[in-house]
Amino acid sequence: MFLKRFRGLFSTDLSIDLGTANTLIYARDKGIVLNEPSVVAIRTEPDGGTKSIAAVGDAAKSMLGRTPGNIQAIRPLKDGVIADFTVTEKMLQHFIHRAHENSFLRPSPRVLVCVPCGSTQVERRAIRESAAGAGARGVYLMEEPMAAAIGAGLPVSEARGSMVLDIGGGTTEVAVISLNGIVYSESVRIGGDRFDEAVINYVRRNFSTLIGEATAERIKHEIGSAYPSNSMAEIEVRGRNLAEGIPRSFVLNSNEILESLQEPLSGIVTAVKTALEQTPPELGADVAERGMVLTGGGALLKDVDRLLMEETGIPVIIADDPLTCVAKGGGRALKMLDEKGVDVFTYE
Amino acid sequence: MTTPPQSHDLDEVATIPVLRGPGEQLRSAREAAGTSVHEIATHMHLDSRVILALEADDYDQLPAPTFVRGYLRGYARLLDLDPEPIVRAFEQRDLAPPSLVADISEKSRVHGGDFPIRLVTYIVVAALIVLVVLWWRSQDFAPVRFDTPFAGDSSLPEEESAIVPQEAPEAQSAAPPASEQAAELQEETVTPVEAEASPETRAPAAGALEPDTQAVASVASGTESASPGETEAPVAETLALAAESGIAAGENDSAEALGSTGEVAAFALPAEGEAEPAEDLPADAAASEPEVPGGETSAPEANAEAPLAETPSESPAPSAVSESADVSVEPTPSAPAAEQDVSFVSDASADRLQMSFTVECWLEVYDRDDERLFYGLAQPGEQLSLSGRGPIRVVLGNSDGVEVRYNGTPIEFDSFVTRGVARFSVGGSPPEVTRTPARDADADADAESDAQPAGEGEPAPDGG
Repeated sequence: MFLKRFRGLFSTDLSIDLGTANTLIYARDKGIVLNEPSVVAIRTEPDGGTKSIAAVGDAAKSMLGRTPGNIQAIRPLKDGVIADFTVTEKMLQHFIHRAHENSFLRPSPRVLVCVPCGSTQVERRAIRESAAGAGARGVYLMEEPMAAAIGAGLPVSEARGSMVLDIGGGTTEVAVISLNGIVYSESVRIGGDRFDEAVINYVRRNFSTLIGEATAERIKHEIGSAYPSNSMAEIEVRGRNLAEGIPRSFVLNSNEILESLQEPLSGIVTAVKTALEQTPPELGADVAERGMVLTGGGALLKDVDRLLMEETGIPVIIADDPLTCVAKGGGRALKMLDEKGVDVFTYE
Repeated sequence: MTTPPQSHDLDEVATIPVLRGPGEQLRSAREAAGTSVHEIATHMHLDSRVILALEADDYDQLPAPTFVRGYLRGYARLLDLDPEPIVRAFEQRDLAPPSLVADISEKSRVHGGDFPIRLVTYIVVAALIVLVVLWWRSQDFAPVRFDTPFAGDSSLPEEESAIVPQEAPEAQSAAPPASEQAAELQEETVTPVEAEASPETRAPAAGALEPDTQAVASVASGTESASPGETEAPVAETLALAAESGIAAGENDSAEALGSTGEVAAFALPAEGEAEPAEDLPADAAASEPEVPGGETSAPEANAEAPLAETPSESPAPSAVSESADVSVEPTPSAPAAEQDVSFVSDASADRLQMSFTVECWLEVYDRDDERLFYGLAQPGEQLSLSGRGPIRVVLGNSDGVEVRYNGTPIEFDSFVTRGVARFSVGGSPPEVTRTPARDADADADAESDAQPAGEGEPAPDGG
C-alpha cells in the first residue's frame, strides 16, 4: 500500500476508456496519450504450456485472424465488459505503463475507468479489480454516457436535458443528463462489432464468401454509411469463396453495406426512440430544441446523424473527435475530483 | 431578414479579414442558393430563430459551443459547402466549453496542495528544526561533561577561583610540561589572591597522566606550596579535582599530597583549624619519594591503594613545595580510607558537607554564590567532602543510599525527594534545610524538576 503511494508520486492520474474495440487513455495535462485496440496476443510456450504476452494493442490487432497455433490474439472485452479477466489485467498493466514514458518505477496512478451504464455489479467489480491488479492505487468508476457528455462539452450541470448517444465498439449507450446526473440511460449491446458481424454475414449470404473481421471493419470504415446518399462508393475486397474454397476478390458498394447495416442500426434507433419516450417531457423538450450529441466510434459511420435525425425528428450533432470523448470526459471529471474534491460524476 | 451582427463580432471579423464570420458565410451561401431560413430550419429540425442567430453570429442566443459547431456543420452540408472552414471561423471566437459545476453550493475541499496548508506545513517543519537546533545547542553548551575531570574550588567571593575547567584538561595532558603549565596557571590564579601574609597554596589540580608518565601536580615555585594530590582514576576518567586550599588567612587546614605514579588526585581534606604556619611538609621529600611527605601513617596506605603505581620513584610530581612556613599540609586521617575523597579547603566561613554513597548517584552541589562545588557521578562506596559557603544547594539524582552530613550533623532530606531526586539547600543563616526550586538548578540540571516554593524546608541542625 505504501509502496503504491510512493510510486503514485511518480505517476500521472489517468482516465481510461476501456472499450471493447479500443482503449484510450487520457492523462491529466497531457491529453490522449494512448489509443490502441483492445487486443492482446498471447503466446503459449511449447514446453510447459506457460503463457506470455506476445503483443498488445496495434501489434496484436494486426495478428487477429493471422496467428499460428501457439499464438492467440484475444479481445479480452466483449460487449463493453470484461470477458477475460487476467488478460484484461495484463493489457491494462501494459497500457498504463506505456502511458508513463521513461518511468523506471512501475507506475501506480489513480485511474478512472468508464463502464457501460448497463454493466452489472459483477462486471464493474471485475473492471475495478483488474485495474487495481494492473497497479492502480485508486480506481474510480464512471458511467460512460456521463463521461461522453462531459467530453463532448455538453452543459451537464445545467438544469436542462442533454441527450448523448455513445456508439462504442461493443455497446451503444444512450442517456439523458441533467444537473450532473443521469436521468435516463439505456445500454444496448450493439456497436461497431455488430456492424462488422453484419457485414460479414451479408457478404457470406450474398457473395458466398467468407471475410475476416479486419476486412469487414475496413469495408465499414471506407464505404459504410447509415443513410442512403446520392453518391455510391465501391471497394474491392478478397475473401474465401465458400463454393470454390479459394480466395476470390469481389466488389462491394455502399448501398450493399447500408443494407447490411440495417439491422444493427435499427436497434440503435429503437434504443434512441425508447429513450426519448422514457424521458420526462421537460427534458425531452430540451433535447428536441437543442438536439442530441453523438459520440463514440460509431458516430464516424457516415450519415448516422442523418439517419437519427430523420428517424427521430430532432437535431443530431456529432461531437468533435467523437472517439476520444469518453476518455476526455473522464479526465475532466478526474481533474474536478482532484481540484474540488467532489465526485459527483463517479461513484465508489 | 437578418439581424446585423453585433458590434464586437464586427470588430473580430475585421481583425480576421480572411475568415468572415461563419454566420455571414452561411447566410451569403444560402442567399446565393435561394433557400429560405425556414427551409433550412425544417431540414435541420431546428427553430428559425436558431438559424437566424447562427447567421448573425449571435452566440449568446445559442446553446453550448458543441451544439453550435454541429449546427454549422449541418448547415454547411445542406448548402453543399465544406464545413471545415466555417467551423474554423467559429473556432476563432474561442468560446469556452461549459464549465463543470459540481453543485449549487460549490464546496471546495481543503486540498493538500492548497497554499494555507502548505504554509502551515512549512511553519511546523521549520519550528521542529529550530527546536531541534536549540536542543542540540543547549546540549552542546553543557559546561562539563560526565567524563571530564572536574575541579571545583571553594569559590570564595573575593578569591579568584582557579580556572577549573581549563585547568583540568591541561593537567590531564600527558606531557609533563603541560602539567607544569597547569601548575603555573594555578599559581597565577592563586598569587593575586590575598594574603602574602599567608602565602600558601592549595592543592593544585592534579593532572592525571598517562599511566607511564608522571602525575605531576607540582605547585608553585617560589612562595607557595602546592599540595599535590593523588588521582585515583578507577574508571580511566580521572577525577582530577583541584583541591584548593584556602589561601586566605591560613584556614587552610591540610592539603594532602599523595603522588602516585599512574594517577594523581588532588586530595585535600579540610581539617578544621587555623592556618598554622607550622607543619610544613618538606616538599622536596615528597618530590623525591613516592610517598607523601609528612603523611606519616596515611600515605603508605594511600599509596598502597593505588594499584597502578608502577614506578613510585618516578613521581616527582607530588611535590608539595612549600617554601613558606605558612603552608600546612597534613594528611587527614580520612584520606587513606576513601580513595576518592575529594575535599575542598575553604576559608573559615566555609561549611562542610560530607556525603557517603552506597549507590551510584548523580550529584550537583552549589554554594551560596552558585559556584559549583561538585558536579558528577559518585560511585558506590565513595565518600565526598565538600566545603563551601552556605547555604549549599544539593541535587541528588539517586537519593536513596546517600547519607549527607552538614558540618558533621546528619541531614534528613527525605521530604525533599521526588521520584528519587532530592533537591534541597542546606545551611545558611539561619541554617536550615530548604527545598530548592527546580528552576534554580543549573541549565543542565535534571529536567524532572518539581518546582516547589523554597523555604519549606525543615530547619537543619545547626552545623556551626
